[in-house]
Amino acid sequence: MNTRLRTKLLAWAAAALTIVLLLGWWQGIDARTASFLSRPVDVIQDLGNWATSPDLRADIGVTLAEAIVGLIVAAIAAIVLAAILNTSRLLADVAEPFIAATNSIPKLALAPLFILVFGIGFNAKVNFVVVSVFFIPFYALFFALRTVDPTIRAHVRILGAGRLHLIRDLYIPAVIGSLTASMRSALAFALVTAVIAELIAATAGIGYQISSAGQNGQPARMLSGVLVIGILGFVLDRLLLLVERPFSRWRIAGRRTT
Amino acid sequence: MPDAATRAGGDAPLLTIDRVSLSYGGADAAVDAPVAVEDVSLTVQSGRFVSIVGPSGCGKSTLLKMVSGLERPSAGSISVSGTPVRGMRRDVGFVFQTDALLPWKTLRDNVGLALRYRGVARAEASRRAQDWLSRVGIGSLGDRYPHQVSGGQRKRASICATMVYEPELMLMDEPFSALDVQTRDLIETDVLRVWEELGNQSIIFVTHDLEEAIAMSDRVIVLTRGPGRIKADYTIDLPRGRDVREIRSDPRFAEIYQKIWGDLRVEVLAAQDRQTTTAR
Amino acid sequence: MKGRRRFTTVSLQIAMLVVILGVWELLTRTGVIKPFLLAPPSAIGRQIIAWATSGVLWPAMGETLYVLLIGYLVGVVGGVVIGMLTGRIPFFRYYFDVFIVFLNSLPRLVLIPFFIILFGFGHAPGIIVTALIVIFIVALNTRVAVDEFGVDFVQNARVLGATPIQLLTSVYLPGVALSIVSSARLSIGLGFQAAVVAQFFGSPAGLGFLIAQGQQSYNSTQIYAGIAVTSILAYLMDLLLGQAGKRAGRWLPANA
Repeated sequence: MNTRLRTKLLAWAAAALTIVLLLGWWQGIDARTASFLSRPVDVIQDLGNWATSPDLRADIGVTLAEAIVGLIVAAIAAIVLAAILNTSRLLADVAEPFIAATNSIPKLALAPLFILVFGIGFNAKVNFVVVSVFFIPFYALFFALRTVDPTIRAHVRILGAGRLHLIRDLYIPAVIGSLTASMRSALAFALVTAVIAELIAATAGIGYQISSAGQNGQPARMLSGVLVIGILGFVLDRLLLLVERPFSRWRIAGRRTT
Repeated sequence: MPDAATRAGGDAPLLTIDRVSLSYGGADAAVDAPVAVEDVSLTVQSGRFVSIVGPSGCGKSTLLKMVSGLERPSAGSISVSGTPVRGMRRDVGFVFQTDALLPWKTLRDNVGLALRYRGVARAEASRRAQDWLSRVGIGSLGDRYPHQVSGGQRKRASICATMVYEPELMLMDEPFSALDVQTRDLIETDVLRVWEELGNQSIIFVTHDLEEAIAMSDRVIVLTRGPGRIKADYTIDLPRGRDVREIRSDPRFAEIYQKIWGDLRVEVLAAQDRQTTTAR
Repeated sequence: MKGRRRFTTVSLQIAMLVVILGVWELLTRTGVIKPFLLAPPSAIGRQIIAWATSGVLWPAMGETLYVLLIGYLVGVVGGVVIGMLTGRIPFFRYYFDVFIVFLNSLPRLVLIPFFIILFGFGHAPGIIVTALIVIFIVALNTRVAVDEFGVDFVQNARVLGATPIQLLTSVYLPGVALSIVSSARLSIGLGFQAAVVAQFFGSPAGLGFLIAQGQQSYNSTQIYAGIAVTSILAYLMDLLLGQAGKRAGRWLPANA
């Protein structure tokens, strides 16, 4: 135990040292390089602007709203479609290869399409987030409903469950279980999707700020914007874990997949 | 056939299996599909503990599924308590080999589930479920989730879940094969005790462990290798009130074992032969 | 019964495909759905053929695949190395964990504009972003595989006298090869997406460029065609890797 703790501390010290060295080197670059790379101090300072400036705060709100509204709509659509397709085994079998085919489409590559067809406003962004994010909970739900443990299903039927009981005691918990499991990656993807769309063309949002900063030669703003996204994503992820906890009590503690 | 097939008794049999066959692929299988079970006939009275043994693939699990209504026979008929089996039976209990408890419900809620389906109020169902959990020694685990307790404790809960509505016919499909020997012995003793307390319940117990079968049953039926047919039907005249471990040292036990093993061994070896040839 | 059921399923699928394509073509041709919103399949097909014959398609594919390949190789190799290091040596595990936890929350794709400012509109931004995305996935999966690698195999080999290098090449690498292939398969889709998205931002060539060009010239057919080609390519790559996975996993029992 002692050696493990020692190794850990040593490694963390080494990591801290690496970070300090990197930041130090970055801070000390010449002015010309700094004009397109900026310096750590500048980035940290600009980070503060994101918290204090009302305009920047509004941009955060826009991106957040695009991501969350899109996520909720996508989740609802995923539940509905996965449920409908699983009402009959034949239907699910027939649908499966079509669903697998949609997996190949790189969702973010659809961004220009949505910009062209729906414009660059808030609704357009939400539409894009919905379509992109939809597949994450959909695949999870579709397969969860499809592969409900047959032994458990037989057991519950023998105990006397009717159709409605099966839905309430077997299928809905399966849905909730796989939904909560896929929500974390869906949330992360929703955020990325919203920002990418804003980077390409938008009038508001964190991505818009990053893009503008790029065009105006403000690398510090670009990087602080990226940091904001990172922090936002991290905080949302932790919040989600907290919300999920009552729903996951019955799960076996598994390997944490990032 | 070596020994008596049915007990003398004036009352109508609880379970009648009449010339039942099942081909792989279900009730609408092709004509030349391989056969799981062939022309099996069997009757069981109330209050008996009957084991079915046979080599792997002899169709013993399939037979059990047909009695419960989970599968339909391709030929023949089955009736329980005088009514033919058509679809799922609610007066029959089934304990599976693998975990069947709902992972998202506590043990107590799992055990009370059948009662809730039968319209029993929540409080009453909970009380009766708790009672059963205590009877098998896991009364303190009512609020735990299945993943929080051991395999043996889960199995006890599964048995309670099916016993709680006191079905007249209880089917068990290799229920203890996943447990270690000591846990198995303890659970088996408890199962026998609870069964004897209930009085007129019949249990049909499928296993590949002949010792287990003899230790627990009144009657052991041997199936041939697939397609399964009844090869032999033995009455076990060991006294009741048994302890599953101690009964094995009864001299009669060894005699009975040798006799039945004589029949079973042939089938097991032949089945293994066939397995290795098909694997090549 | 199984055969009969399979026949029903497949024939229904073919029927569905025909119906979907037919209805799609019909609705967009007659204008019920504006062809601007959803291009007719026939128009998409014509566009792809036009690209192929006019020599636009192949350089574009080549460009994107080039970015993908370099970034992907760097990512896979780097990921395997880091994965094995962090899996076997506690010091490296704790060391890299510090960076991984921090960098994981940072979506790599949003760094594209920044990299463009640093490196210009060439291949570099796409390659770097692709590599970053792939390296994470491969490293994490490899680490898990090394973690779960049967201690028995290792101890057995050591008893038989294997040196650390021999241990690495004859026991570890083949053992985790399957995980590497599966994480490679997982990451190629995301890597490809990264390569294409990077080309939205002012790259002069590539499939991403064709799609972005479609947007800028208000030509939705072009966008759909670009997406179609991209998706088919992604599907083929996944198929290829799937085959590679099967060969790597030859020694596994059938139901693993």
